[in-house]
Amino acid sequence: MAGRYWRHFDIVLLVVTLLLIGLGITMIHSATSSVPELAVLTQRQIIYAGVGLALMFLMAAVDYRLLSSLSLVLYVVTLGFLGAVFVTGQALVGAQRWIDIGLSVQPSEPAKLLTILVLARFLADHEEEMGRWRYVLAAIAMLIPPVVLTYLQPHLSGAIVLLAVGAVMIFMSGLRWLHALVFGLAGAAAAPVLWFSLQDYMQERVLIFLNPQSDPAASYNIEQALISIGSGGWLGKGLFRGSQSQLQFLRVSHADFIFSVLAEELGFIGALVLLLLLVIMLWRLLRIAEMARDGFGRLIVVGVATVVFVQSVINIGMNLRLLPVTGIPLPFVSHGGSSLVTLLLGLGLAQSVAMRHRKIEF
Amino acid sequence: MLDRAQGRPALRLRILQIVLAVIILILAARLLELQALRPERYRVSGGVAAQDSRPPLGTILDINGQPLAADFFLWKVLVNPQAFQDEGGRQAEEEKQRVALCLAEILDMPAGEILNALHQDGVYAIVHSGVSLEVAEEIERHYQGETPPEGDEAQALAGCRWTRGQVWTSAYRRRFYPQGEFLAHLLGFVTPDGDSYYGVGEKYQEFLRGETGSPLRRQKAHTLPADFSIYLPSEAGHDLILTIDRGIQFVIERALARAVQSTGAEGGSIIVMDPATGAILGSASIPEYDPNTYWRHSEENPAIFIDPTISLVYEPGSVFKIVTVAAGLDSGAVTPDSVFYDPGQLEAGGHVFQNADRQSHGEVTVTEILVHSLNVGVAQVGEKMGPETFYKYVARFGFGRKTGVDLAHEVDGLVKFPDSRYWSLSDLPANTFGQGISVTPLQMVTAVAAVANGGMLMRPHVVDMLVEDGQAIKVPPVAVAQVIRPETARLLTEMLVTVVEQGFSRARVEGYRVAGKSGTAQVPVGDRYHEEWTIASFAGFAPADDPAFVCLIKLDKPKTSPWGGQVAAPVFGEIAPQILRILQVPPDAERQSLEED
Repeated sequence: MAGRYWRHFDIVLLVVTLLLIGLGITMIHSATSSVPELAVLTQRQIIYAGVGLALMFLMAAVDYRLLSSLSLVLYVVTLGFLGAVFVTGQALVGAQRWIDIGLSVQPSEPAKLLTILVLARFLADHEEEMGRWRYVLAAIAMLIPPVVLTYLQPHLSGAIVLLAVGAVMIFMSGLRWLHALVFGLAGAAAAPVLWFSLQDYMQERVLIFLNPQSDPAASYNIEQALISIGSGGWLGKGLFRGSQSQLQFLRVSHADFIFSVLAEELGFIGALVLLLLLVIMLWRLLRIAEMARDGFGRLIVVGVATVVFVQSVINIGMNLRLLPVTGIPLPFVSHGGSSLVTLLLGLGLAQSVAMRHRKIEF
Repeated sequence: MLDRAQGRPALRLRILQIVLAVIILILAARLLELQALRPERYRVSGGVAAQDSRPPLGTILDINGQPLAADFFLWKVLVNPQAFQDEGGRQAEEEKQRVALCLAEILDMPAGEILNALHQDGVYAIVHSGVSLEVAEEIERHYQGETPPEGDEAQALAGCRWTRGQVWTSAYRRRFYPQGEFLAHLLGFVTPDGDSYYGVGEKYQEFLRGETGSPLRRQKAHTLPADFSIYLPSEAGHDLILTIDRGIQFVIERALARAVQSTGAEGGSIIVMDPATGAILGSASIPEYDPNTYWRHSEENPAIFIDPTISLVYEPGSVFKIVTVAAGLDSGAVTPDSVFYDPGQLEAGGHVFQNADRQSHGEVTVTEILVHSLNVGVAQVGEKMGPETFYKYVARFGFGRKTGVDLAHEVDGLVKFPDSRYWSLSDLPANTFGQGISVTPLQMVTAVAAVANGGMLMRPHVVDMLVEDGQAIKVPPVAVAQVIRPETARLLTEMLVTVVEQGFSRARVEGYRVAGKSGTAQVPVGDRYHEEWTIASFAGFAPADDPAFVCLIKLDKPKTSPWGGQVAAPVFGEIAPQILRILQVPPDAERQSLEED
């Protein structure tokens, strides 16, 4: 009976998801309320959320193990998705010309999910052999093409997210400590080489992060973000009352800097609630990973949890000036359809794993 | 084995959980530091640095230096209601009322509204969302410590004084289209972030932002003509001068609006082009929008932003017979006097094609086929030359591919060539009279312009000059190909003159010989044609012997009459004399006597 599966649907995870999205929509509404031109963004986010939630339930209903056999196809689709940009020459695919403004897909978003699936299949198939060099190297070799293509979009932070997800998944599938150490050292040794291969704008952002005085104009927004957060205090200035965001001192406040708006208007308490919601979400995801009936399911959920976690940390870290400025949205909260729908699809996968965690009941 | 498979993941999950927890605790600690432990550092809202909202964009002028799109600044006027608490022992309320009265005078708005703003909670309230520089400066003059304003008017405000903490202004950049809906599709619009969408604005976005240099760097630069120096160079330093003539644009927009209204059409387009260079002199479409307030449409009707002349296609109908006859003449398959027998209908590929009047016309020449716009006759011309020749010319004239105009979002149109698996035998006759083939209005007018230009197809363009650092770089005309021989073009032009002289009295212009052809196309809906809807059009040029302009008029679903000859041709007759006057083209007789001298 298909209905029986739904008994194991993770309601707590769903509630946390809805709360995060609701918080996001509220903050987007607040961040854009003083700019009539941007008023449509709230409605759009509601539509994205509706579509995403529907897809999430659909995904949950599908047995994730069916996706295992599609692995090779999915891998090709992933690379095709990312490669399409170079063919069409624009970073937006699937856009009807006349709806360029509204409906365009950022290919690196769905690519994250697809990479998780493909890597999970490979790692699950070879779980017993992951202690051996060649399988570790093979897994890394699988990861490299999507990472490189994402980097070339150009989307450095997207590539970093993919890399982090891959690293955590490989670690979870039984990488030896010795190997982990070797790769860690190799990565550190390669850092200078990577630095010089970065594109100019990427280097610039890191330099500005390290020394904000070097370019006051460029560090403008992060300075405004800090003022926003700092002036929020314990309880915040109240919704629609954040002078930083309402007077548009803070730019792109509805997207990458939504956390600053939240911290300004809802204060330390509000920001803490957001962190708490993220913690609960991660706790539920890792709980599903623990209960998963097979390695494939466990690794998928670990991958999804890592995406949520890494993106949250990069985004919030940027808002708090702990990390350089990057174009990573805050999961479930920032405005943006590609990110939201992809994350909800990921949660759908996790729910699918949760629902099938025990042997089939007759 | 079981132990390895089950136990190890559990351990590793535990490690993962600990790492996540530590990182989140670091974030929380940083939050605590910023928000709770050292808040005094950030308590004051940073109201100073945020003067400019986005980088400037270059100005766009018409060919005569009239502004079409430019950046300008507006100033927000803000007050801080909390800054009136302990001012020198005075009552805060009294002071608020005094400031409200003063501001009411300067801003010319009710004092009550300002007083309301002064009683809001929080550290700021917007009193006015957009005042001019003069008003903003007036507010500055009343800061304590500034020289008091002088003059009679200022006397009334002499007692008005405030601090920068109480009343202040904040500038922000806006894109302004001084003529509103005028030329909207071709110009596009700009969002508050400074992103351009559609039209020439999107196409030249990087240049107008100053991010890239002129794409024509190798061309010779000239000093900017004096006519343009009122508005140029702009703050951005990268500006565009269009080929558009504001006078012609005004004439066609007015004529189009009238025609759409009087015929009950749903919409329509008019394009005017210089056939010798491909320069677009005017381009108007209805429905239109005001780019100053584009966001009013962005939700319920985003399709309104699309430029119908380059991004939408239609079946051109009989105007396309110009292309068919050009192919027939140029390939040598027919001459203007070749005689065909018109039985009133023709069968091909299982379809029966009829003349528009459902009549047989007996023996007719090719010229008569054009004059009476006989579908059966022109289909026979097509069969005489054969599909290979016909489609060779269709492709040469530029159908089925972008013209390459310098506007964003141009489309290819849709032509089924015989090597396509969708092509069938019935397509040849249908295509000869412009059905079953989809073109953009710009493609159609560009093809007719090639006939007017002695058979040389020019690439259409809208930018006349790129201005960079006070230097103007002229965009050179681009000749695409000689699509028909000059003799063919001359012969065909004479035939099109005959068409106007014998058929369309209302397209004629006194003193000038006019060449032209009307079209009445059925509109495909799904896989069949709608029973009533038509697209009525007319393409023409004048003077016939040395064309100064080519024009296409297209009306969508006119209600008073379905026929291009009846609704579109008169529009040509209305606008052509005005365009000829603006372009200062003397009447034929005068020109010829000048040439003889």
